[in-house]
Amino acid sequence: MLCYLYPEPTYLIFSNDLPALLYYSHIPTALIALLIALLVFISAPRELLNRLLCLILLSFTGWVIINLLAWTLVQGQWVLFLWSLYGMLQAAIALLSIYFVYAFVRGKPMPSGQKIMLAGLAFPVIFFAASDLNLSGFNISWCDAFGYEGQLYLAYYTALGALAFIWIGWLLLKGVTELPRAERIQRAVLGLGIEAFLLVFFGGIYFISYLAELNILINTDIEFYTLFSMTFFMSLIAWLIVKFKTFNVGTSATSALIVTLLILTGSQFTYIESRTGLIITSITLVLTSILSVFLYKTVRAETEQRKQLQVLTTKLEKANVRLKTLDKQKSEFVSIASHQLRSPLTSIRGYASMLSEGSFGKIPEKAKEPLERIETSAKRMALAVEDYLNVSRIESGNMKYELADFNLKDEIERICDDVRPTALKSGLVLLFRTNLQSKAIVHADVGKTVQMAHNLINNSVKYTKKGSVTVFVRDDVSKKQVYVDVIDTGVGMSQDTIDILFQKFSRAEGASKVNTTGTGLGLFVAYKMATAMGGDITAHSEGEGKGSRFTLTLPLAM
Amino acid sequence: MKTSTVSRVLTLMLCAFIGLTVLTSYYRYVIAQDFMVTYEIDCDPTSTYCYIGCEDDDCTEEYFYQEVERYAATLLEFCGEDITDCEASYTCMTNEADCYVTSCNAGDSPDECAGPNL
Repeated sequence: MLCYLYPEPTYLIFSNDLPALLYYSHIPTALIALLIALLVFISAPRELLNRLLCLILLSFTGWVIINLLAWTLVQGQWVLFLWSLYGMLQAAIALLSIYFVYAFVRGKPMPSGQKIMLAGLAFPVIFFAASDLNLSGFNISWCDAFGYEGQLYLAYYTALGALAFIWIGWLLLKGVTELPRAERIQRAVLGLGIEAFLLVFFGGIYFISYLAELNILINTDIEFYTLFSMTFFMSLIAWLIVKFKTFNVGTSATSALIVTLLILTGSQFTYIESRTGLIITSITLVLTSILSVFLYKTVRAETEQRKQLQVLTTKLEKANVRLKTLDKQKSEFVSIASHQLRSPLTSIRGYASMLSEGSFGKIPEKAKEPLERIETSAKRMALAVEDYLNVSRIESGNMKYELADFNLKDEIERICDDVRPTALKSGLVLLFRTNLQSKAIVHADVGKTVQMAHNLINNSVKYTKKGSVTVFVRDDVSKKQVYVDVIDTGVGMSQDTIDILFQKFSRAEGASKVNTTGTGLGLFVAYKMATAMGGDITAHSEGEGKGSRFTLTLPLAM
Repeated sequence: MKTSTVSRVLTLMLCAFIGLTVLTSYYRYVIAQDFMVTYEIDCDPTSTYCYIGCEDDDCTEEYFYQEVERYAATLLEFCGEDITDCEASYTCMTNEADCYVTSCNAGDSPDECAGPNL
């Protein structure tokens, strides 16, 4: 039955008699939906979420194509056949949208019971699609079937859209406040897109059909605008893909967005009538194409870099875990070994001392020097073992600090008195100076503070061949800090050396020539102790051969 | 997330059911043309009550018509696909079931109806 008042279309869809908006609203929308459907499916074909979104978009594309053909075809029987499929496609869009949002929110498939319920809701739409309840006739003068649509059938599948709208709203809002911000944003964006689409698409189509049936609405072109709701939904989906990598779509998202942009720009040709408009749109399309190529290349390069970076990060993470394990094992080994070394060392030192003092009788003159060497070596070894043990304690978090208030100036002065004979033996002057506004009472562990200061002063003496070592105790009451400066005229250091000075086993360049017995742990241990007690140790030097200044900082007792 | 067996069975059943419905619909509307059609025929307001139609959106030019509603398969049998210039499309045949020629109701407003006394 030919609609005798309308001309035959060319290539099934093109007719001069129809408004340009028909093509602008249908062709780009269908292409975009189809493109995103394919993109989402190809990216992760086994993912339920991707499959569902793909099915929704394919159903929508099918609806748009059928609608376009229903507008352009003039064979009544074909228009009616296509018209009879609207209900099934709309029901599919509504019910699949529910399942899609369920899978998105819950991250798992819907329980079988609910799936069967959804299928049950679709059953009447499918069963009565070819019956008079759906369509019973056709108006060949107007080339439409508005007067023959079953209102009950139409209302039923529109109600499925309303059900989807409510169900999806409930799914999205339930427990949303407990979610992290990123997930809340994703839900909000998806919810806004899908709810707006369902409301405009189902609501618009139902009211247009209803008003046309009552002959209140003669021009049903307004239906075209409802399709733009899908473009809006797709824009938000595209944003989710780009921003949150939702649906596991990778770099191809950029390609899809570019194609979409070109489709949208190109589709303007369908309704441009003026020559100027045609030129402007052509220029826009060319510029968009050029920019798209640049965009694609840039994004591809960035994506490849990101992939490489991810691979490296994974490798580094694994290596880091392995290193931590090895470091822990090393600390445990050092701890065990050091503890086992300490006991025999104590015996060696004790017996050597007793032998020197003549506890086991008179020692021959020739044996005195070897005995002294045994004592010195054992003492050095005991200090090294103590360093290893301290490192082990620091790294395992077992270092104990007994904090108390004490006079730092007195302790430093005592250390200077102890070290001075050694300094004098080396031809050095060891000076002790103060500039204090307070009594220099600090709140720290006395033993460890003495150990730190001893370490710093001893180091200065060791690394200074001639000149002096000055120990200067000063304070800054406003900052509530006491400073112990150890200034020497020794070998000095470069900035590179200072940068690594407080690291484990690091020694100044050429340090081994001056002091062969250092372990490279003393400053590391001292620094860790100072910072653990709320203080600090810093080093400063003008350069090699220009002396050094070490500053120990500790907080004043309140 | 992998689709379960229930899902597969349900999908297969739905697809089969939808396919069957599409085929039924195709047979009914395209092959058998089992539906009613409505169309307009020329009408003379000097002798019959006619509906008033507009030739354009602004209704600058009017025309008069009656509505015919009949079974599509019957119309196809008498006139073929195109009813233009088909005499049989103007009247219902004797004993033709489901064929109605509707004129405008004389009591309707003169904006919608034109007839001998309007």
